[in-house]
Amino acid sequence: MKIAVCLKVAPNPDQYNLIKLDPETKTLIREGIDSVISSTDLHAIELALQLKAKFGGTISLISMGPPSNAKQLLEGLSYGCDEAFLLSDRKLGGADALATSYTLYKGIEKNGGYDLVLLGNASDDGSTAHVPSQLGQWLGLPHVTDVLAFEMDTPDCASVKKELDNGVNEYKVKLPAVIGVTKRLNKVRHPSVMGIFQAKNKPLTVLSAADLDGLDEKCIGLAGSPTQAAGYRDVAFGRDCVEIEGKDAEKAAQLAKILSSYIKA
Amino acid sequence: MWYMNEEREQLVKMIKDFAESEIRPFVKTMEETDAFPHEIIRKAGELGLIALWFPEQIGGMGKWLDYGLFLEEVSKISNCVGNCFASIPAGTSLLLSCGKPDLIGQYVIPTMMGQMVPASAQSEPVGGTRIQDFTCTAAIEGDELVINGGKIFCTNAGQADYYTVNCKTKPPYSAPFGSSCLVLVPANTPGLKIGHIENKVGWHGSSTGQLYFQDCRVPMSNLMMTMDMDESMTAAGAFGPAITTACCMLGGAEGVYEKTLAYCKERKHGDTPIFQKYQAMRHTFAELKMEIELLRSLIFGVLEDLDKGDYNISERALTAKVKGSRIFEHVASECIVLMGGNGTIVENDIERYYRDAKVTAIGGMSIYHLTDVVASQL
Amino acid sequence: MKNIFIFAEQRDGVVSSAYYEMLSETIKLYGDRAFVSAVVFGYGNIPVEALKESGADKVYVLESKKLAEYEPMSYTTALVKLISDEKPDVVFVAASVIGSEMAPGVACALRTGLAAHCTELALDDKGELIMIAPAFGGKLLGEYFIPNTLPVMASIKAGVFEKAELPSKNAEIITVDASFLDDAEGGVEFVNRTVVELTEQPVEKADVIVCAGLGIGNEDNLAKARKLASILKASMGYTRPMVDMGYIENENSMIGSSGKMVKPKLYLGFGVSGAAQHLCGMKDSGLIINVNTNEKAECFAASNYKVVSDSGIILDELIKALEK
Repeated sequence: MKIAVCLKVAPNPDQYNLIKLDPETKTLIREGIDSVISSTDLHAIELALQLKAKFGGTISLISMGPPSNAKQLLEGLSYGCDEAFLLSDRKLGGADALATSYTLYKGIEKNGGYDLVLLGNASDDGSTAHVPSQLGQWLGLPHVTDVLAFEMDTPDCASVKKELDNGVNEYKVKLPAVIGVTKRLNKVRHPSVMGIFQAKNKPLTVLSAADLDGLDEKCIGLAGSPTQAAGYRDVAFGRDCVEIEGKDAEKAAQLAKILSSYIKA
Repeated sequence: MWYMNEEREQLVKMIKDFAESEIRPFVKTMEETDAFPHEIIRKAGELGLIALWFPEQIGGMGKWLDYGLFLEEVSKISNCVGNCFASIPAGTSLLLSCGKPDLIGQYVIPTMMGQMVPASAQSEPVGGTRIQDFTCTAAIEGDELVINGGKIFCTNAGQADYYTVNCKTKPPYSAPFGSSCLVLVPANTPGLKIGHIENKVGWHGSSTGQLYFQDCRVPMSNLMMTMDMDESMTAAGAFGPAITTACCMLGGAEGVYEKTLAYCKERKHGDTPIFQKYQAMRHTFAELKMEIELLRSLIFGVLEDLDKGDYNISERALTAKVKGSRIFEHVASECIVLMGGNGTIVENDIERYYRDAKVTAIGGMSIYHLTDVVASQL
Repeated sequence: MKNIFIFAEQRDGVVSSAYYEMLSETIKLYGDRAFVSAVVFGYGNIPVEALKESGADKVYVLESKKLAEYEPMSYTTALVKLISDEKPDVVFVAASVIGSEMAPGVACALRTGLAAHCTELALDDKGELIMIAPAFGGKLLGEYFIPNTLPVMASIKAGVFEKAELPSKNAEIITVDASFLDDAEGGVEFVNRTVVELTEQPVEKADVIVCAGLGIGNEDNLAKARKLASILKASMGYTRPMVDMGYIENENSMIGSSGKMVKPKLYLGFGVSGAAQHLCGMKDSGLIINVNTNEKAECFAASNYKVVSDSGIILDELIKALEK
């Protein structure tokens, strides 16, 4: 089975509190924030590894971003994936979800297509959750997102579950397909020491825009992005936080007093 | 850091993730119930972390420095767990050097995979580490060795799957038997009884205790090696355990230092973080940082030499352990003071490092003994 | 005049509250400069009457066996076809599980833009839509616009906008021929639905919420929080890590940018660290109180009152005090 996992490299969510807005220019200041594999994408890798163990085959990692993303792809390879493609070109910069999914589609096509394309349902930073469905549309493949359970007995059909507002729906999906996974799907393993030492010997190919066959330049980068960000602003909470002090019992008594007016008969 | 490269950065990241997800949640249980980290050892073995230290001939990586990074990172969260991993080379290095394929296949390889826990049983109530005074004996009866006697301060007592036991060979003995021998005793051997497990000031979760041997019979094939041993021979083999435990001290010192520094940069008196408000504090932090960096340079220099095959590091390895123990204790002690009242509260998990530091001065081998060894070679 | 489509999710003949919220906000924003059409899919028991009276100008109804249960490929195909034929200027869908999956596929097929999970809408001086949505998990708000393609699409977080009482416009009902779906082979087949019975009031509708975060520490304390919730007749809410770590089985009561947006009269948090993702979902609550051992916890920035203490102890004491 030929599996592709799309990875996004994003600022470490544990460090979001370090993200600041330049008060003058309203641009993002990301200083001192590490780049990591967007956390949900790791669950896609885990699923790919489980399927590879069951059905055999190869796992290709595909990511779009600056050359420095090679580091995170190397990390992805250390989990036991087989090869990596980094789609890296200045022309690809400034892409929204549509242009990103188009570029990933071209990267996938370049490599001859896959039986299964897996990716995290949403990235840590943008969290739009747009790329999985859009990638499915570009590829013309069935797609299901927000998947919390995935089972496959034969390599041509998967059974997936997703949570809807009042329950869980189960679907059968014909392969090839695109699946957006959630963190609840599985527990991500740690890469092994052997995996780490072997990663650098695995193929990691950097592809520029020119390397992607039949790439429509109107569909990539900023030019291919219909959704544009006008700017960012801080979230205002507007609360004066008053500390309730005293011994624990006294604090609780004060709380009980505040709560009393909210208790329904 | 001069010894870091991309591969080691990936390794350290993996170890940090491993330590956060597998070790940190277990620390409280270890402290409270003295539970041994079997599951952590098993998982580390599966990931190939233990194999980092083992020689390539048996499927390991043969990388002292990378194993050192592992011990350092783990010890930042728990010096005790770090030392459990440091005890693995200590418990298996003689077994490896005995070179018996059966014993290596049956015991060393599972240990490397995290499926078995080794223990080295050396100390006795009489004689400390002086082998000629030991009273635990091995007698030859047909194709069996019969062990009688006892051991104390055995690390991993009651938790190990096998013990490498230092015995005096009971006369009359003849070639090839020397005056003493090392024997491998599986944990389930009849006649081996686990005695009292000590309640130590620190290293809660490691198991240190007594072993009793009463007509404990093992096949002759479990004989690892025989020796005519004098006192200095134990010290000559001590560099391995010395440098691995030193890595744990470095990690422990860094762990408590980083935690305390973060606290002092956050904690405010008035509107100013105490770190900024008190110059005395900043100087203390600077002093601790310098001690940590000195120790790091020494340790990783030794590890790099070992990876190059240069074993002429005994003095520096012993120095790393002796000074490392002092530095760890000093850092942990100052951190309690730097944290103020909060440093004294058990729940804040600062004093644990101090208690663990105390044990590092003795566990494995007393720093007084090692200082004596260094002095004897001057 | 803008021609605006609002996708009305319905289940078992009941229109989702998100539809009414989007409709109310659209009318508030555009006034009489908008012609609003509701779009509803289903098979049998479609709430046409409710939509006719809802305040929309028009209702498009697509009825097909393929639309009986939500299934991403058929729903996407159906909406793409309708939009291609009718060419609205703006399309709103709820940022529900369904909307969040369907809208990006539709936008891709139409090669247009889509702003995700919007929590605010505004018009610029030319009357074009500015969409505001949480970024970096809610740490910041991003402003988005879609200047060059049509329709402008946005998914809207439920629970953010107020539902207004709107007069009926006795909407025109358009029944769209959905037979094109019959032969469409999407590759995804609906198998079944397991309904999760809610044992308490849905968290987004509760007046009082007791919320548990990972800092609550253990199952015992979680049980205490639930006990407090029953005393207060409150609904329980949870943070994302509580779901990810398996304390909670489903996401129904998860509060935050990727879960429910809540605005109770009273929010009482225990062991909630205050990740931006969570604060984004509860910051508009009436009174906010948080209990956390960490005096620096981020949640306090969004709180009226803070208690720096162990959640378990405060829960014990509070339950004792309230039971008196």
